[in-house]
Amino acid sequence: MYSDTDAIDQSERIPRLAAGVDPLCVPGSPAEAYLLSRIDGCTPWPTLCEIGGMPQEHADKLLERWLAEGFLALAAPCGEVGSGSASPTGAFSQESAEAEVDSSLDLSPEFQRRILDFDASLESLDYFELLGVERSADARSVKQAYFALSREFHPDRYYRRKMGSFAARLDRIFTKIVEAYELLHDPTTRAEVERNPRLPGQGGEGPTPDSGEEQAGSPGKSAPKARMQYLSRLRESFRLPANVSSERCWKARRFFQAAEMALEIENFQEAAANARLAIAFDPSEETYRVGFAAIQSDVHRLRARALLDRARSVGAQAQALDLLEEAIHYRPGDVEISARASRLAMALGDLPRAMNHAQSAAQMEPERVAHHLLCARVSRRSGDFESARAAVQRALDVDADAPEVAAEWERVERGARG
Amino acid sequence: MSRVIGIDLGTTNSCVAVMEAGRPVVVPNAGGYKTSPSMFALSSDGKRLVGHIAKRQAITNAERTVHAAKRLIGRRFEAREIQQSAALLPYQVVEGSEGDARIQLGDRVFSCTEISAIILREMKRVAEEYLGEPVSEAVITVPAYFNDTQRQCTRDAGRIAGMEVLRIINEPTAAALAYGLGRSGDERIAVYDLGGGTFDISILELSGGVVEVLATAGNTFLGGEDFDRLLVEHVLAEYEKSEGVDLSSDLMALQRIKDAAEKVKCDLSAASVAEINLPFIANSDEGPRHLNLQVERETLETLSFDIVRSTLDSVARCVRDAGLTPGDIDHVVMVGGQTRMPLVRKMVGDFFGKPPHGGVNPDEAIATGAAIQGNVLVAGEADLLLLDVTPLSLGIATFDGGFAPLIDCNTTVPAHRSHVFTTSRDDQTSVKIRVLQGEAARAKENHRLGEFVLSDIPPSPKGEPEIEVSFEIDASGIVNVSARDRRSGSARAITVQATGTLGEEELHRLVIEHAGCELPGEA
Repeated sequence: MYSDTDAIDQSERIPRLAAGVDPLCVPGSPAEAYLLSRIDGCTPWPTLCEIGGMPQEHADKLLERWLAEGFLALAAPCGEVGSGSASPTGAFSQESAEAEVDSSLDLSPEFQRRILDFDASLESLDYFELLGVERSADARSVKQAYFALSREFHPDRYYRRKMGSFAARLDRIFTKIVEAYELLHDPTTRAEVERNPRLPGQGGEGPTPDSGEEQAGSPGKSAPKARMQYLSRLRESFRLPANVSSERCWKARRFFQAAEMALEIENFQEAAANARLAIAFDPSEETYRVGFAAIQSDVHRLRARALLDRARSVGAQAQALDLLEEAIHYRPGDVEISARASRLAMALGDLPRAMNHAQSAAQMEPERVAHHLLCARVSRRSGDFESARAAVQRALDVDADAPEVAAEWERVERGARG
Repeated sequence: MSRVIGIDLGTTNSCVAVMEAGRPVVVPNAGGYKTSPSMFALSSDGKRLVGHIAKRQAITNAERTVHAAKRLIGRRFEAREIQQSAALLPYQVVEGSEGDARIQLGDRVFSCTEISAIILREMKRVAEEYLGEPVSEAVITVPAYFNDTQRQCTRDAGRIAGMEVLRIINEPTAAALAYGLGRSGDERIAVYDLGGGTFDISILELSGGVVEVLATAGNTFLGGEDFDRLLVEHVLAEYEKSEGVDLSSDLMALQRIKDAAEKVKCDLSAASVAEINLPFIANSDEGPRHLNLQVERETLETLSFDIVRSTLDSVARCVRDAGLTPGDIDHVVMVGGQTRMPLVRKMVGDFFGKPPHGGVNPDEAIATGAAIQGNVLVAGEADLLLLDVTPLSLGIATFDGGFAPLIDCNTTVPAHRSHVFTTSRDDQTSVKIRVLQGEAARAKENHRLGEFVLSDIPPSPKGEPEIEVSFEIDASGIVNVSARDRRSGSARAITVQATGTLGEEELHRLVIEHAGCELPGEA
């Protein structure tokens, strides 16, 4: 490094465009713009004055003015670059000064400057600015910006080229571009970035206890670290559920498809088993639960029907009653089965069971006279005339004019009398 | 400047391509074939044979002929897959000094890296003969799901073969480059790569010459060889049923059946019935026995249905990892010889709801893509740029036996991440860092890439030292790990380069040994 900057001869100064300066935005006449266009980062100051297309002292003054206004920086040793001027590169001039444009490298001077500028501005840009997209940019434009920048900065593009210190810069830039893209590409992380578009780690934010000390020592080092932690935190908070569930969701879907196929060929048992597996693999999917419930009711209806058929064909009444009760288990809401079971139990003389079924039938359909009369009959048979009267009373409440109710009333009264 | 060749080092066949006047050319060998069997043999008089001539003598010299060495490369001898398949291989698999699987032919033990090197050297020779100039640089492809050890072994093999390996790229990615050359539109493609020994699926996005890998999944132990194996087992069972003779211990018969099975499998891609006809397969008291069996396509499809279905699980996962649904895929590119099977094409086509794209040669696309990538690198080809991802998560083992991934799978490479760890005991002066690759939550279920010890940590209470572990994956997918104690003032750094199964010394010896060992060409 040059420590004695005052000793540098004017003729050794090489101006270049300052970081982030768009030459089109530098105000000036066409003649001045011509001089500006000659500045390439390798042509020394005196040569520029000679080829600038204007009197040499004018050119000299103009260059000094641009330098003072911060449009230019010096590519050669640059002790006095920022002297008193508000250079836009102020904060980074020290770093960019370390490796200036080097014509011995396999990179065009223009591109070297592009790298220098981009690298210098990395710390000051937010993720959107880094990719050069609007806040409102859609996923497609984000991706296209990422591709365009990759085409420019991916290390493969400069494979084996002599790059000196630019290799590390290029690497840094590309990593940064990928980071910005990864965050803006994923809707969840993008929402987070939109709330706080500034790169974390800027402005001294640091989650580790020692980061303050770190930053004092090497400001350039700890910022990326803090960002990395921020990034990994972001990832952690979204990654696991998605990753873990992806396979499970897929499996769940396949099981449910199998269930639907089984349903089509009316293999309800198979369908129910598959649907249950689907729910086990992906409990969050409502469709599976609804589907399972539907299948389940089909299964039960079918099972009950089979049981009823068997009950009808079976010879022994006791066995038929067992079958009916099993059917009730599958179709607890089917009042006909309950009524049938009740009558059958009564015929077998098993009055408590008959009572049980008759009562549940009456509960299910309190508006039907027949169920209440059934209750009354069972009660009467078991000698409980009080309950029998109450049941007939309920039947009367439903339909006072029905002849069978009156007949039952007669029978209950007769029985009670002895 | 000499030209860069692209080599598809396959499980059963290998292929080499080179760029000529801006177009990729697949180089035919002296016999006119564009692919050569990945086979190596030691003849009874000690001659080294490779490629087609090795295959031709395989029947009579089964125990000294190596095929499918790629399935063993970079794997530990005691691994379940190795133990299972070794039982079916005619040659002998033994344990190497590093616990790796090696191959014994006669009294000489070859590492799998060495076998691969011999095949790579043959491919290099084929290219040199065609180009009429020496070749010293190559891009070599590996299955996307290869871990770092397997990649490193392949890279070492290239070195032993006398080439600088510019890049190791993933097979499906290479196929996508071959597909994408000259296409400028925006599209999303799926590359379904079912080769002889490995299965890979990658989802890629192509846009204006940039090829971005969105996600990758696969299985390094599933391929055409498994279809063959099922068919061989079927033939053996049928023969035993009808003739009452068990041929499974007869090496020569087994090799003949294996050859015939492979052929029948290929025939059944076009025909619905094929015949295995092997006269004089065995001898019995009643005289010579023959094997004559008809195999229907349906039989093969029934046998292999589960394999094909299992690939679709990976496909589904990959599509989901890419954040897409099957309907989002514009084209399905199929590479690898096994994708010629109608059942595979149908099931994959059904999954994506569109028939596979027909414009890519399944045998040649991978080598072609490798040559294209080589050209992109050295010639600064600006039309095409590959944004590849790492297929496996990379991290370290934690003290409680867990796995802490630092770089997730499907992260764009080159990538680096670092993380700060600390000590778990007071006055601990060294930490052991075990580097792992894989997706399992438990450390021991993942593949161990290597380990190293960071010592000379100044004694301090537990939890105080800050050990920064940095992971780097370069554009080849090769991993570098370094650790640094941040508090001990001067930054001490150790760098471990993940290694293959050969030590540096052995590797060096082999480089020299093989440099002087020119193999006889194909007659």
